[in-house]
Amino acid sequence: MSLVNIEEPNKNQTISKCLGIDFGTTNSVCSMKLDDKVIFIEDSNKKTLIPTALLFKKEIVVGNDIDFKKNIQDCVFSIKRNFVENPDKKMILSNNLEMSPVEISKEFFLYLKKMTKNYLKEDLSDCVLTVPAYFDERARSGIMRSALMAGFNVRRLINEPTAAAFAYGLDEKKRGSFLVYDLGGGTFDVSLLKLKDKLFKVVGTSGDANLGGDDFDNLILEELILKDLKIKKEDIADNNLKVLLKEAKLIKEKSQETKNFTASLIINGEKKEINVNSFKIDEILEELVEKTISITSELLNDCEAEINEIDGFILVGGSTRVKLITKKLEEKFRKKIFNELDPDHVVSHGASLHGFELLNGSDNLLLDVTPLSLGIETMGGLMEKIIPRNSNIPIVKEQVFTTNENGQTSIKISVLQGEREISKNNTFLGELILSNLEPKPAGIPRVRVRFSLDADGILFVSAIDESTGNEQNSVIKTGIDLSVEEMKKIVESSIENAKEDMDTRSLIESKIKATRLINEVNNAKIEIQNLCSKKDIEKIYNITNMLNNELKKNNKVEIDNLVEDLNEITKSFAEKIVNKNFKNFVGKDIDILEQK
Amino acid sequence: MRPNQTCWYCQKRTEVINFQCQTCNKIQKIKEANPYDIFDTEKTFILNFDDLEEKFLKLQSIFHPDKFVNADSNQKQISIAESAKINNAYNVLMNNVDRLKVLLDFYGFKQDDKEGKSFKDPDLLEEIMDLQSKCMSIEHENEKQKIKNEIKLQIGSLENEIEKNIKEKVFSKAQDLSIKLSYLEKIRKDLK
Ligand SMILES: [Zn+2]
Repeated sequence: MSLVNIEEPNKNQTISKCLGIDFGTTNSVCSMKLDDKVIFIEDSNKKTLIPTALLFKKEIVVGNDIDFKKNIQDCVFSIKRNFVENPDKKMILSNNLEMSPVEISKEFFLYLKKMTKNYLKEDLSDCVLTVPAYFDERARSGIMRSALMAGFNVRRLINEPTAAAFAYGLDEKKRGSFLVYDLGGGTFDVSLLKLKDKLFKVVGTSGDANLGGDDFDNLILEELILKDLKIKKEDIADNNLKVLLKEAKLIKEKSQETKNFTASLIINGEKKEINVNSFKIDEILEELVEKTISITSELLNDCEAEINEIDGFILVGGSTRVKLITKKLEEKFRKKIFNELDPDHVVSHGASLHGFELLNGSDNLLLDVTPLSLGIETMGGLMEKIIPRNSNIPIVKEQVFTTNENGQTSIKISVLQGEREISKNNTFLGELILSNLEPKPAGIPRVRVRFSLDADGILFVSAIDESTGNEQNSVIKTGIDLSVEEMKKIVESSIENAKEDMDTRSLIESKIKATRLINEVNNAKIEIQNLCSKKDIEKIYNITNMLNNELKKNNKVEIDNLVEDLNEITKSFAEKIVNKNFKNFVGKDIDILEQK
Repeated sequence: MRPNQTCWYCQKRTEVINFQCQTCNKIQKIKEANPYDIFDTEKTFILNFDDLEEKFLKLQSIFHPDKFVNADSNQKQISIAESAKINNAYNVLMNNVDRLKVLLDFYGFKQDDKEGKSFKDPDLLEEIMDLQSKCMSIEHENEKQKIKNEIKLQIGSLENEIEKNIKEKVFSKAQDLSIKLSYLEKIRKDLK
C-alpha cells in the first residue's frame, strides 16, 4: 500500500522568521524557530551563551571574543542593571568614553545582529525581545530603544518569566497554575501563570529589579573571602575587585557540586588561599534566598491565590542552579519543581516560539500584566494611581485635569511608576506639559489626558483640550531622546523598502539624527518666530518639510545633506533658544496641578 | 455578529462576522459601551465567572494586538483600543462594587458616590468596626482562616440579597448593601 501524500493547506505560504532575544544581565541568548525546532544561534566560538560584556578599545569587542584574562578590568559587565537606575545617564568607560546604557547596549545588539547573520547567512531584523517582568517602563523602553537603534525591528517585548512559561506550555505541554521563579544575574522575577490549552495568562507578577546572582557573588566575596582573610573592601583596587567577583562566582558554582575545597586567589598582588565549605555558602546565601521566597508569598497573597491551587514551580535563570533555592522552595511550599528546560536558554526559547506565532499566526493567546502601578503626582507630593499593578495590558485610562490659578495657560503633570505613596520614592517616567491653554478662571479649562500602556508595557500619552478640541502636543518629555514610537517608525520604514545590499544600520542612524533635529525645531517654533528673520524662517520650514518627506524614503545621502543644511541655518541662534527654553521651564505659570 | 453595519474602511454596508468586515476583511470596533453588552451577558448581579472568562478570552483572541502584528496601523490602533476596552470591561464585571454601579446606572438609579455619606446606618458602622478590630487582633493562622471564611459567607449572602433587590427593582436597598459590601471586600483584601 502506498502512502497518500496529504498536502497541508498552508504549505506554500512563506514562513517569516523571527529571532527570540534574551538580553541577560550576565549572558544573552538568541534563538529562532525553524520548521518544528528551535535553533540557538552560535557565535564564532560555537557558543550559544554570549556573555553580556563589552570591551571598548580601538574596536568594540563583545561577548566570547573578549580575552577576559587580559582585559577584565576594562570590560563593561552587567550593563542591564544600569537600565534600572537611568537608561540615559552617561557613564564614563575605562578609556574616558562617555556613553549611556542605551548607547552601550546598542553596540551589544549590533553584535548580536552580526552574529546571527554570520550563523544563518541571512540578515534578520524581526525579533521578540525579553525584559525582566519587574522592570519599569523607563527601563523597558530604554532596552527597546537600544535594540531599535541597532536595526532590530522589535515586534514585541515580553516578560522573561512569561517567555519561559510559554516554552514550558508549548514544548513541555504543561497545564495548570504555575509560579515561574526567575533568578537571573541582576534581577528576580516571580510570576503566577495559568496555562491552559491555547491560553497563557499571567495572573500577577512581582520581583526585585535589583536582586540577582551578582548579589550572591558579592555576598560571598564580602562574607566569605574578605571576612576570612580579614581584608577590607575599600583596600582593594577596583580592577582586583572585578576579578575577585568572578572568583566568588566560581566558588558559588563549585560549592554546588563539592562539599569542601580550597580556592586560591590573588588579592593586592598576594596569593591567598581559603577553605570553602558548601554549608557555609548556604548560610551566607540564605538571607537573599529568603527574600525571594517572601516576595513569592506576597505575590500569592496579592493574587488572592492559595498555594494548594498551584501545580508547581518553574525555575528559570542561571542563578537557580544554586541548590539552596530548590531546597527552600520545597520546604516552604511543598510543590513540584520543574527545571527540565535549560534555565539559561529557556527564556530565549520561549521568545522565539512567540515570535514565530506573532509573524505567522496562531490560535494561542498570551495575556500579560503590568508589574507596577502607573500614576501621577498630586499636590502634596503624593502619587495617585491611575493604572494599578497587575492590570492586564493593553490598558487605557483617562483623567481630566484643570488649572488652579486664574489665567494659567499651562499644566505640568509628572508621570510616575511604582507602589509607594510618596511620589519621589517611585520612578519618574517623565513630565507632560499641556500648554497654550486659553487663559480662563481657575478650574474652568478641562484637559482630558489618556494614558495607555500597550502590549509591550510601553506608555503612550495623549491629551485633548476639551474646551477647544485641540489635540495637545503631549509626548512625555524626559528631555533625552526620541520616543519608542518614533524610533519604531524609523526602523520599520528603513527595513520595509530597503534594498538587499543597503546598509540599514547607518540609514537608521541618519534618520534618528534627522528626527531629533526636526523635533528640536518643532519645539522651538515660538522662539524661531521671535528670533529669526522672515527669510530664515521660510528656509527653516522649507528644509524641515523636505526632510520630513525624505524620511519616508530611504535616501541616506539626501537625508544627511538636508540635516547639514538645517544645522547650518539654525546654528546661529541655537544657543539663544536653549537659554530661552530654560527660562520658560523655570517660569511661574507652569505649575503642578491637582486634577479635578 | 451583527449583519449590515457600515465598515469604517470600505464604507460599505456589509455583513460583519467575528468583528470582521466580510467585504474587505478589516477588523471592526466593538459598538457596545456597557460591559455587560460587550460580553453579551444578561444584566444580573450574580454572574457565572467561568462563562464570563470564556467570553473574555474569545474576544481577546480576536482583538489582542498580538493578532495584528502584521496589520496596517489603523487596524493596529483599533486592536489596542478594543483590547484595552475588553480588559477594562472585564475588570469592572469581576469587581462586585464596580459591577453593581454599572447595573444601577443601567437602571437609571441615581447614585450618590460620596464616601462620606456611607454610614447612614450606625449599626453598620459598629458592625464593620467590630470586624476590623477582630482582624487587627488575629494571632494564629487558624483564626485568620476562620475570619476569612466568615467574611466570605457574609459577602455571599450580601450578593444574594443584592441580586434579589435588583430583580425586584428596589435599587436604593441594593445601593445601601453595596456600602457594606465594599467595606467587607476591603477588609478581605487587607487580610493577609
Ligand atoms: Zn470593509
